[in-house]
Amino acid sequence: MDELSGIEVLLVEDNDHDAELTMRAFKKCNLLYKLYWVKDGAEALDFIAGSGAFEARDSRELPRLILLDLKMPRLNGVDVLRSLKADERTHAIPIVVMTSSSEPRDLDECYNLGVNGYVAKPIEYTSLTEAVARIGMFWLLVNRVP
Amino acid sequence: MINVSDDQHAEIEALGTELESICYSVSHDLRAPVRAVIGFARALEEDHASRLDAEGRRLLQVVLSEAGRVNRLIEDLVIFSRLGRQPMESVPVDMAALARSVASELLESGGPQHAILSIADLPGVSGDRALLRALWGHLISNAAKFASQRAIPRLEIRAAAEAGRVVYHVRDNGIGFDMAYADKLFGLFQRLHNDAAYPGTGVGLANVKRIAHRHGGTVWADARLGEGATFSFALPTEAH
Amino acid sequence: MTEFDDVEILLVEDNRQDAEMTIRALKKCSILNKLFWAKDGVEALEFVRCQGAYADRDPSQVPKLILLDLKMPRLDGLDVLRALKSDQTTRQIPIVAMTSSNQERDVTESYRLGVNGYVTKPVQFAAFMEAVANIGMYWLFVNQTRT
Repeated sequence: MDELSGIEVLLVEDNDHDAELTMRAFKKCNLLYKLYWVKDGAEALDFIAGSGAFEARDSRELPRLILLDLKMPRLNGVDVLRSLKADERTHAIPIVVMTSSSEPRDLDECYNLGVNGYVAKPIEYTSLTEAVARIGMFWLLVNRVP
Repeated sequence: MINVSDDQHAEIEALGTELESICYSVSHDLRAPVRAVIGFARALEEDHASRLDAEGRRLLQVVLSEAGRVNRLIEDLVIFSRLGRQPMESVPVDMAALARSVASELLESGGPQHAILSIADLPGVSGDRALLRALWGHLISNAAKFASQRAIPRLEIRAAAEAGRVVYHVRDNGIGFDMAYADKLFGLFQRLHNDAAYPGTGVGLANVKRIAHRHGGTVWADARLGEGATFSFALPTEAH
Repeated sequence: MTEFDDVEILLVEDNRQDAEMTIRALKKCSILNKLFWAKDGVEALEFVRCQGAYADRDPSQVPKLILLDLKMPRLDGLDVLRALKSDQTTRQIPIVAMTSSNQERDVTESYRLGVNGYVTKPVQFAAFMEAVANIGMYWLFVNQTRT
């Protein structure tokens, strides 16, 4: 399935509007990376593993960046994070949590589980488009993965 | 003096905690929809404004600016509510260095031009460094905001040590205020000046009061209309 | 005391030219608020842990980002990474390896040890400046840490 191959950015976000705005921002900054959007944690893990609804996907292909919301139904962001970081096969995928919480408790939990970066929305210093641009320019242009 | 029994005291504290958490969850739950309003209004503006006539664009601008205002109010409310809840870590703090650091950051990032800032030797206290940094931030930016209307903005920070406490003063040569309204100053979202002339949600001073109280201190202000204002806070020298 | 206060970026780099270029690149995007340059791994650990020459530093002040070279004398970058990431009090500090090493095994090992990001230093000057700018813009203005 061509639509599922070559995905470089996996967006995990349950709020339709937030997802739409994030994807818009990606388009606006001309970050021409193939992005795929899943709406909850269970779907995210299925996507990575190439299971469930994503059986047709080649699971050997791993995204270069996962943007992960925290508060989601079914499986929440922390569980996804824990699961991916505990697995040898997937622990090096950069995960940047993008959430409306800037609670110390959530920051602690995510960093302790090995999250690579943490971005709180709304973003203080700059608009979403600029923030997404900066996220993209570091994680997709400069950062290197094994 | 009102005598409050232990039971009543416990009840008051419980009410306070409950209010805190309501304040916090309301502001948190409001964030997502407000974010959507702003995001989509901006998207409308970016991609479709050319299809609107001048009046249509004006209407859209009002939507955007008011949504922005709600956003700022909510963000300030989140910060304010968190100030009451976050754990405090008490360390010895060099208040002069801290005030200088905050002031120079503020003036560098767009403070008033040609401002004259004088910071006297300030005795240190024990306190939470992050909270005290925020306190200085609010007071100095407040002073700078009002002084900026003058041809030569002047900010003066001085302090005096007293028995068991230190009293700090931040003075500006701005427009001042009518002392008749002094007790409203430190209320949440209270403003004595017009938003257009002096932008802000009015949470800064409420935060200052909160931080000072958490340290076991007090705040007050003194001013004369047209002659500037002095905002003061006293903190116990040793941890509360 | 004031020189080590409010440090936001800890640059760990033994090569003087690379360090100066990095500092200049950060200054260009007005990111040079507070940067401390440690010339090797031992100095870096002492700085973060408030030991040795930095015993007077306030331990509650934690940098927002550590830029870590890998190949250094005395204590190697990977050892610094291991030390910081295995210590509960320092494991949350974002560390981005910035190294001339192109070795795949360094990349793999760094991620295994918990590095947050890995950047191979571009050889070209302009690309180097741009990479540092992109690093600064994300880690100092967008990324959020506990402190």
